[in-house]
Amino acid sequence: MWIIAKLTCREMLLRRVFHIAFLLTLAYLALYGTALHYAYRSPVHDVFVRNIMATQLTSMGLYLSSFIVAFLAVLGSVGAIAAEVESGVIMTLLVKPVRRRDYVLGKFSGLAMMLLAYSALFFLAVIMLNVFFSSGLVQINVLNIAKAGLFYLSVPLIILSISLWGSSFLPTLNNGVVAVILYSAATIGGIIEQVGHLAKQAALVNIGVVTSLLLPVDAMYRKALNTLFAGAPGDFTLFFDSFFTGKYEPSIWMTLYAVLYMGFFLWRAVAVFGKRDL
Amino acid sequence: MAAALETMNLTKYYDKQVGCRDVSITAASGHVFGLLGPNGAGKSTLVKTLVGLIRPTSGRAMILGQPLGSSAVYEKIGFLPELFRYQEWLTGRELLGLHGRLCRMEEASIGRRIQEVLEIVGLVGAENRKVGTYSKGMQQRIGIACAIMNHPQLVFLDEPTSALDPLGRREVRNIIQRLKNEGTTVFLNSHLLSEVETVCDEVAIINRGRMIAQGSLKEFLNKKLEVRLELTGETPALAEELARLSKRIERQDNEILLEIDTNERIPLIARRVVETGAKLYKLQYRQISLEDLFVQLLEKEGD
Repeated sequence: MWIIAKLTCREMLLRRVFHIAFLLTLAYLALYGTALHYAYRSPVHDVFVRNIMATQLTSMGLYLSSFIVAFLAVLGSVGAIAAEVESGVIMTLLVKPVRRRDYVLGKFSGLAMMLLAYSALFFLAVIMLNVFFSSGLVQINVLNIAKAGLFYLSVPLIILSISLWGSSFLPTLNNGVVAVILYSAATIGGIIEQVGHLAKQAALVNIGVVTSLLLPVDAMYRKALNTLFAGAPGDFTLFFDSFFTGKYEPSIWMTLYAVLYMGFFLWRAVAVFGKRDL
Repeated sequence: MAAALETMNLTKYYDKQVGCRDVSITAASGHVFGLLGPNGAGKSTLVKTLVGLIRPTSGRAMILGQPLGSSAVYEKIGFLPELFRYQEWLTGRELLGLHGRLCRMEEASIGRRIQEVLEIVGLVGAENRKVGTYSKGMQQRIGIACAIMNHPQLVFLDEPTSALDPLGRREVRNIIQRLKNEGTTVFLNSHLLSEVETVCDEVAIINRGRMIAQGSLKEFLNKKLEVRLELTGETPALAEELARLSKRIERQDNEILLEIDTNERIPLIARRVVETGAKLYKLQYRQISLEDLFVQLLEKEGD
């Protein structure tokens, strides 16, 4: 399993999509940092306005980083198995003492390591930029960052698990389309759910819950943000209810569901691929 | 001789379509076994089933004494697929190292074996180039190198010469011969009859998913022997004698075509012709080629 994991890591590091993503991430962080620099130097000293600004800038930075991480997870994993089946590479690997289960788990481990490292760096970079430029307005304790990080990092893992499952029986293109549609539905569903809470419309909230059940990435992202700012001093969390953030935190059951969701689709990927004719 | 591979009524259906049906073959250990068949006959399905890439619908198979799908088998076999690609971003040396590790070879022996297989397939000097830069022929060779990296007891080669020029084909034949000399059993899937005829000890012919003939190559080629005589002065006694010595006679002007069951009859036929006083102008012996036999069998199947 570890040979496959190592091979997968190495392949991903050599892939152009990863290089482009890395460079664009640096560009994004540079742009975001510049924006923060000027935003936090605003002559407006009204605490109310500055808190709104800090909330919006932090949450927007994390929201877009989560979005980029999710798409990298999709692009990196939709063809993890399918592309090797289509090219014939897999035939040379599986006629070796490599169990199919180990092949799938090796793929998952390799991709997970790369995505987790990338996501963790991205997550920390966005937070640190806000802490650095806000001159004390944004204060987040380390424990919150660690706990929120776990929820944040679950987003690429959830996408990876369902995408790997799709890759175990679908062609790369079809799997990519399904993954992007599911992610889009989950994201829109999350926004609808927030609107539902604000408008006190149970139907809208239910739509959000259903899309979260289909792909619980938006729920986990919101859980991460709520955890990150839990117990933040002053009025920082007061205005923490934009569509990019959402002060309505998913329940512990949704967290449990997300963990089971990952496990279930990883298990299905192993089971489906184990029986597939190549 | 012990069987390296034995299948019993091995069958694979894709939904309702036949991949292969009731295939029962035996490949003796240390032999080169050739699987022949037209395109779409089920050759690749059979090979993929034997190496565990496809699950059989029914039937059984034993490979190196282990049931089909047993994980212990994979340490002892090698496989070169027909349509394959390797990790193009690895160098030849890295690719072979990867296959050595996947085969659970000891780290210390991997480097030595890489050098050996590079020499066998003639890729010394190209081992540090990325596989993606290799020509088709070189890719085929590195594929063979990967297949034999773990000193397999049984190697499956699925159309190993399909991308090669005549010189490359000859080199692959030499590699197969070398493997045989080292005691490795080779299961060769090919539609190139001349290639099979040159290197195989045993042959099986598959058509429409069914095995239509199998046996040793010698048996196959001795199945139909023809002697063409050009003579004058044939007496009734000679005609009777020729009929007795042959399985079938055809006459055309001064020519007589005899189908015989063994080439031991040839000197006897010559002696009888001379003894009866006939004048023998020509005696031509012809052994049926594998290609003729293949075509005849397929035509018979088509009837």
